[in-house]
Amino acid sequence: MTTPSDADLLSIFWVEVGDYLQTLNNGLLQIETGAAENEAAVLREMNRVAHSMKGAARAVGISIIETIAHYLEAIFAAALNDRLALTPNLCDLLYDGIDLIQNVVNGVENPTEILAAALARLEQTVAARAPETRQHTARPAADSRRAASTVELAETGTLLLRPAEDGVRVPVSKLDRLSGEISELLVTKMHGEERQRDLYRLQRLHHRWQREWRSVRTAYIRLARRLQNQARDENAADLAALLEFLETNQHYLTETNRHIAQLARDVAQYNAQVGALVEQLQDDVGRMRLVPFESILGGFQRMVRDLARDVGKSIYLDLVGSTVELDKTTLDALREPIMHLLRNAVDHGIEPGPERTRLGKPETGRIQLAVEQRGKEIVVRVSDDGRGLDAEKISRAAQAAGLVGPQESVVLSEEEIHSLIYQPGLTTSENVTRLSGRGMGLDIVRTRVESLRGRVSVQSIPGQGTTFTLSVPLVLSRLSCVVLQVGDQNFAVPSARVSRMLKIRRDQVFTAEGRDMVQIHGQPMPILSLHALLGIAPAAPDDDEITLLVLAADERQIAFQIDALHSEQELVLKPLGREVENAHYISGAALLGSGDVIIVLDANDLIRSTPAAAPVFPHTADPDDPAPNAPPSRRRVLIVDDSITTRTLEKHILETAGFDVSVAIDGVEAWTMLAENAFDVVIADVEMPNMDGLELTRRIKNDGHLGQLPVILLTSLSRPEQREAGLKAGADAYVMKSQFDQAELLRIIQAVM
Amino acid sequence: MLQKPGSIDWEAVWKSLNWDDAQRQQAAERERLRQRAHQYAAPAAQAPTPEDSRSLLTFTLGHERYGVDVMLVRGVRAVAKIARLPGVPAFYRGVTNVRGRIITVMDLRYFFDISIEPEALPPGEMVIVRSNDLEIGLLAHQVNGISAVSPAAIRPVEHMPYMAGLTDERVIVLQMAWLLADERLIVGSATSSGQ
Repeated sequence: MTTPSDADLLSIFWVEVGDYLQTLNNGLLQIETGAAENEAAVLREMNRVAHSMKGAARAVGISIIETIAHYLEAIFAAALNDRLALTPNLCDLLYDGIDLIQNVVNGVENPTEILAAALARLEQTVAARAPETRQHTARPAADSRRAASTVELAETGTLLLRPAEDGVRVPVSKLDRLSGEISELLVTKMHGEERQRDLYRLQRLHHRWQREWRSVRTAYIRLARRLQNQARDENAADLAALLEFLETNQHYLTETNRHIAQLARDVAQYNAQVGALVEQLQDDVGRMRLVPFESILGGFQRMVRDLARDVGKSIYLDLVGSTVELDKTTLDALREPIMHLLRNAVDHGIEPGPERTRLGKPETGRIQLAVEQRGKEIVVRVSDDGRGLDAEKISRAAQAAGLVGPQESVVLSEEEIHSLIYQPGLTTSENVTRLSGRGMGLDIVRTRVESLRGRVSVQSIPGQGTTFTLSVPLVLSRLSCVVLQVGDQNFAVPSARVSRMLKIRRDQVFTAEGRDMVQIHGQPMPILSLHALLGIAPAAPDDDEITLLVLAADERQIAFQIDALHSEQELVLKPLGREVENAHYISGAALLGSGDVIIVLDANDLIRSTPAAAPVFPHTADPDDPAPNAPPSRRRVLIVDDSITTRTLEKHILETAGFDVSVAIDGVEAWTMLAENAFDVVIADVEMPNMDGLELTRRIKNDGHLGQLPVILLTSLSRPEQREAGLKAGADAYVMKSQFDQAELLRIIQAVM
Repeated sequence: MLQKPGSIDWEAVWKSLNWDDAQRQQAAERERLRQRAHQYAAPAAQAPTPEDSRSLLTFTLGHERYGVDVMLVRGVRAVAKIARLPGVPAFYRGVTNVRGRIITVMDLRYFFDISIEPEALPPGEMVIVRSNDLEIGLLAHQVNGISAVSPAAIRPVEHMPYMAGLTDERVIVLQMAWLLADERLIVGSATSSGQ
């Protein structure tokens, strides 16, 4: 056996200490919250852990950890011996000790005075109890009891004392490499199958030869007979040799074909075996990457406890399904979103104690973090029994953040509220607290979860609580997809996002506000051409039937027109190069059995592409049609509109067209922004509160500085006198909302600039 | 053993028997591969090149001949099926499968804004280059081989940002490392503002 180097030893030590700290954190929480069913067992476990940590620290010569661990051990021993009660104050001291060690593990330097103070307090506590400690460790009876309680606790599924399986630690990077090699193996297997098909082709070729041989065989036989009967002709000998050769040739070929047939059978059999093994291997390695959800829970318990204390609330965190296993990568990526949701629940969801009492709720608020595997998805729910989403407050906050106009708030629907909460910059917390309230939470939650190809939804009942649900796929590298055809190319869309696939008659399409719509099971929804969106020329000429794929995201459904639906299949996802991984509408690529690449479309992106429905990207298909693709230099547009719908619509259209877009909610705000920033064009509504579009136009046109800035007025009023007033005010162009479509808007912008 | 073929059309016999034709094709293919291997091996077989000379892999694309530093070349392969990517600049022709990895395929003519005539034969080969964490397949009509060029023989050309210069044989020597560091190659780099 080789001796590990110091560096190896240290890296093992850090991992070990990390585990110990988690056990200590969890144990303390259980004792403090009274959740421990057998307090003594938990204490004994913590005592053991502190002891082991002390020994390990001594072995690698990290004396600060050794010292603190020593004090912790002594305190746990004293508590076990009933000489010391674990009061909240003492718990805090213990947490401090744990944190000091954590800092050392994390490579964070502990400030000397804090360290000294903590050590002094630990020493004081221990000094007062030292004799009893020694007495306790000498008692043998405790050990036999401990074994019994270990089992008992393990059965109740407690975090602390799960029976450990014999094993080795493997860095995730090694598993990743293994996974990579397995997908190479998969491709190699596909090559093997290709060879198998080659063999079949060879057999077919042989059959063709056989047929042709048979067709000339009679001629051959006739010739042979004639030769036999003929006198010795000078060609006869050569011809006879040749005929003989043909005869043997035929035998050779037949024999060869027999071998090929045998080979083909063997290859098919081996391929099937290899295929089964590779799949097994992939599953096994995938399972190796699975870690129980509980491995990240300890941190959450501690965080909720600390946060609740900070804001003076009493909160109980209930964990359900901690033994559910999921992929390490997924788990790590979920940590942050869950953290944000818990923070939000503590900060915004749960009411302060007195308020809860007044409302007739238990004073201690309750947050539940539940995990379960549902089919091929992991579902995480964070729910609280707090006040629920406050529609009014969110509307006000949205106004403050400039996301909605002042008079719109009254009519915001539940869906609108639910989509607003994910906007960056939105916060309802009246006083910005330490950890939440900066309006940074939910947009991160959504971004992260979507990067895992998952989704977020929220249910809220005012006064009773809020539940956020995160659903992410169980396995990241495989994805069940619908393969569809757009133009001459196939694409894949994750099956989970497809809510319906159907064919409709062309006359079932109607228009609303100038957009194609269809009614599916009574529900009207817009139709978008995927060709236009992806910049692909439509394949088939106009047909009486249209194939539609209905995708769902963000609680919206949109029907996409495609050319054909092919199949549903499980795809092995492959990363795209850094250069194209952020391309719009693409979530990745996969290899088909043929070895061809298929592009996997991003359903979220597609849904959010609406209402902009035009070719966003130049068509890059044929070389004899080189579309100019010089990105337009980013022109800056200021949109002034008091309606959130119009603003969002315009912003989206212009942003997809490559403009840098800023928005203002009325003339006054626009005027301020114009003073501070340079813009290339202003698009303004006519009727707005505070300062209307006409007034804004007059001011711009009369300003020495801004006089040249083009202004486009946009309004729903179709009265000619309004139009005249607009042009009189100096507007460069005037667009009516009723005629409004994006091509028109872009054309006019082009014209005035 | 055959002295006189007589009146039999042996060419037709061979054809109808099918096998000889295939064998001849195979022989031709083997010869082609042998020549190519010889070509690739040539620089190694040459006398050791002076320290300051550069080994260039040269390839033809349209009417141009380009040279890339062999140190950046990861391989040369025939272009398999390319899947087009929506939403990327025209110089990216799509992605293709290279031994289980997905490689982005680039046509330098679109990047350098060279007009492209309708062509009978699309570029059938691909030179895979890697630098600055990017690995990209450059389309080529033909890969010509490797040659050693001394820096003195590369004449600088002004106003050509990604060209180290021209050789006497009119090979455009690319500054591949610079080209692969161009921000335009990263889709969404300038506009990654999110929602």
